[in-house]
Amino acid sequence: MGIIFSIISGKGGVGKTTTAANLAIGTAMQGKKTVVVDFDIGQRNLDMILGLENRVVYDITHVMDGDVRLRQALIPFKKNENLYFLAASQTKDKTVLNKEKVEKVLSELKKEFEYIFIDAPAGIESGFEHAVYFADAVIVVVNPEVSSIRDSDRAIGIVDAKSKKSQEGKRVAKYLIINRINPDLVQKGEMLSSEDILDILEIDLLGKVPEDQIIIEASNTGHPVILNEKSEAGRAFKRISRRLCGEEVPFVDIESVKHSGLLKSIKKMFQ
Amino acid sequence: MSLFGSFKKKKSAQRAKDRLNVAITLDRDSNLYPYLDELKIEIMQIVQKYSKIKDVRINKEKVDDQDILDIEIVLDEDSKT
Ligand SMILES: Nc1ncnc2c1ncn2[C@@H]1O[C@H](COP(=O)(O)OP(=O)(O)OP(=O)(O)O)[C@@H](O)[C@H]1O
Ligand SMILES: [Mg+2]
Repeated sequence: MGIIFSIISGKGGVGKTTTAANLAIGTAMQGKKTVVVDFDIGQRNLDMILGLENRVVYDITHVMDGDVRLRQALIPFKKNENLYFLAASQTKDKTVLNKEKVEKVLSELKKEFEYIFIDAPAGIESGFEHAVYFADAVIVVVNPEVSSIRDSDRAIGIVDAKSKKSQEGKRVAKYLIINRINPDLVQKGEMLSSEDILDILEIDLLGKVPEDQIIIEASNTGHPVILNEKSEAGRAFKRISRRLCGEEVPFVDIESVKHSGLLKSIKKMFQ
Repeated sequence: MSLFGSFKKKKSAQRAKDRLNVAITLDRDSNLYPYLDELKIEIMQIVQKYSKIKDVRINKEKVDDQDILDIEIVLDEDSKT
């Protein structure tokens, strides 16, 4: 039986889709059968981030409505045979999701896959509730910035109140990813440090991801950063994926500024 | 080290942390019972089986360390007959 991880944030635009794509590729690279599902109905994006936008024929609504079988809607990820993708529908009607239908699809996925990642929509409306209702664990993505952190706390509160596991008196595991850290600003005391954020939100840290320009190039080309050894964010996502696969990976202090780049270039001048 | 270091304005990250701590504490208090609306509707449906009612008011209180939900059922005038 697979584990369902819902990737949530409260505030929009903080990096849920980026995280979903990279972690799914990451666990697949660790040899786990993985599927990543786009629950952001009407705002389909994950297909482009994964470079699969031309491959989408059927989406999750077709499966839920029984138009096609799950197998027909699952899109293989060319770059790793362990990963499949299920697209969101582009309809404007957000009521296409309902509990029974969602449960049916997810329980089918749980039988086939070890890791199921759900890319949740922003906000805390009904689409969000569907994305977290059947979650075994939620991964909360925040930016080191006040609105993102405050909104994430509201979203966490709703998971505690409304998810199926919570209602059955069980605990939904909650993990934090701090994304878009700028080490220079943290050093200057002008950006909340991960320690501060953990103090405020009181949940477990899963990983820290730095601000990384390469992510723009990655979304331009549909080639996520985890596939790029040169990307610092990519390496951060790789460490997080290994943690998700049960490995003890020490936290890297990405918040201290390293001037190795500068040092290297100075050394080169004297070579 | 500057002599005046300690008089310097608080760094903005520290201010963010202080403000977030206050805001989030308040947010959490106001969301302690996310089911209140549903509870109110269900109570109304039950009581209406027996009596006409005007309103159900639910107040959150804290007496010492004990959380209390104070439920007030306001009956309709005609309900006495
Ligand atoms: N670590 C990072 N460094 C630089 N840019 C980033 C980083 N993480 C995310 N971004 C950029 O931020 C933007 C928003 O990211 P993304 O789409 O993943 O957020 P989201 O939470 O899924 O948004 P939405 O709420 O709209 O679904 C994108 O342009 C993405 O490339
Ligand atoms: Mg998104």
